[in-house]
Amino acid sequence: MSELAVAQGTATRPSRLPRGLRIALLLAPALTVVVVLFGGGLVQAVAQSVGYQPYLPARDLSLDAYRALWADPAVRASVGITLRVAMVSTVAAAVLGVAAALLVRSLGRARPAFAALAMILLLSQSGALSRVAATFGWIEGPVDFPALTQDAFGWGVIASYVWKEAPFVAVVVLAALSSGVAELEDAARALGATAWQRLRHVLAPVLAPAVAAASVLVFAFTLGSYEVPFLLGRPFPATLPVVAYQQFRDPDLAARPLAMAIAVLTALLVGACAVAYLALSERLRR
Amino acid sequence: MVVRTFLYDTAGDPSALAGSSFDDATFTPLADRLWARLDALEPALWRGGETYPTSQDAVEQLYATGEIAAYLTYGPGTVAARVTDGAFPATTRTAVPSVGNIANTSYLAIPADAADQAAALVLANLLQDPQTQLRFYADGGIYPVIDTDRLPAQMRAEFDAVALGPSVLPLDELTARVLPELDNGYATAVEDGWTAEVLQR
Repeated sequence: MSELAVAQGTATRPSRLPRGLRIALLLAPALTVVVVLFGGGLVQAVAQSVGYQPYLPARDLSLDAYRALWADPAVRASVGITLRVAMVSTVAAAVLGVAAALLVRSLGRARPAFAALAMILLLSQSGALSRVAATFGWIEGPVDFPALTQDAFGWGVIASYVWKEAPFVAVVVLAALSSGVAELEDAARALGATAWQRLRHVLAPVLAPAVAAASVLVFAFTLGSYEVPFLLGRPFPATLPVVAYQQFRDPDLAARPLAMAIAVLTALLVGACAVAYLALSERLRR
Repeated sequence: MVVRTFLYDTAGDPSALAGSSFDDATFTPLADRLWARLDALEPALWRGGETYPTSQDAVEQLYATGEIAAYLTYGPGTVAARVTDGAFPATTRTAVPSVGNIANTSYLAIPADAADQAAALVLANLLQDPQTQLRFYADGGIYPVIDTDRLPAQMRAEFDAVALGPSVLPLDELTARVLPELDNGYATAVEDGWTAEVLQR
């Protein structure tokens, strides 16, 4: 395949550049964006988290912010709810996405902030569902409607993420489904496999890598996303990005290292989950 | 601002706090009573005090949808427009707490290293021009920061002619018991204390 592509490239446009350099040059625009924007941001976050603030009077760099992380009740309460919301959202989105892909094979898309605002309008105690329930006499007023936004567990946040991410998982699964799976299923059926056996031995192995890849992206997104938990969550306990932003907005610049330490912690959690995914996909491929 | 108003009320005599700089010996016993009071108040608050809205906008949204029956604001004049456009119920009325109301003026600051200092000064002049202030007041319910007594009679009459509607108290009643902002040290202590003793409990 690749030799053919190179041969075609040579035929249409002769190039004297060595192959490695050419690939590097072709990738450069995309890599520059990633390295400068993401890498630069990350480096700056780490630098500020250890106290590198050139706009303040000079002082020694230290890991104080990281020590303060665990002492801060807001951060301590945040780790649990962040992981819980991300995990429940990811599992629900994966299950619903796979089910949707298997059943319907086409779904829409939505923007996260739009979804969050829609959730407030739908789910809040004075929202559309509550009003419908009151109209039919199921509840007396807004207070009787179960609190699904700004709730202790984070159901409103989770609902918003699942709403947005289930279609994404479905799209990825649909792509995996289109690559000759039907023929494999037919072959299995011809050999006498039951519906359950086809799901277990044909569909599951084909879909597992796609579902795992999509789930990792969903998990990383829900872990690091700010606007949905800000709009639908509580000020305490809040998810890590919300706590980081609370600290970031503190008019006291001395709070900045803590804000950046929380951001670095979030990045580390996402990074750990990406590493876990790579290890998992290695095993699934074998 | 809500918690600072409660702090003033808990102190009983506003002059114990107003105008003086932060004093831990004054604040600590007062704060203990304040947190206990806010704790006892929780059943009457939104969601039984289990969580709190995160912004003034969120609070006003809750009032507009009828989830709460009252809220505190720095902008009593802006209520009129919300009643007129139907967001707030027509029965909405402003009132001043018995202890008085914390009030302040909008300020403009020009950074020492501003690139266009002269232009910033022109903008500042424009913003406190009586004509601009009149439009802020008449259209947005934002009270004038200038002393209207010192304006020419005709201009003053235009300010006096502005009617914000029955939902808003007249300016003299709103400003009759004005409390000054607390010292920054108190403001920070109130914010940190409320977060630790009320929000995170």
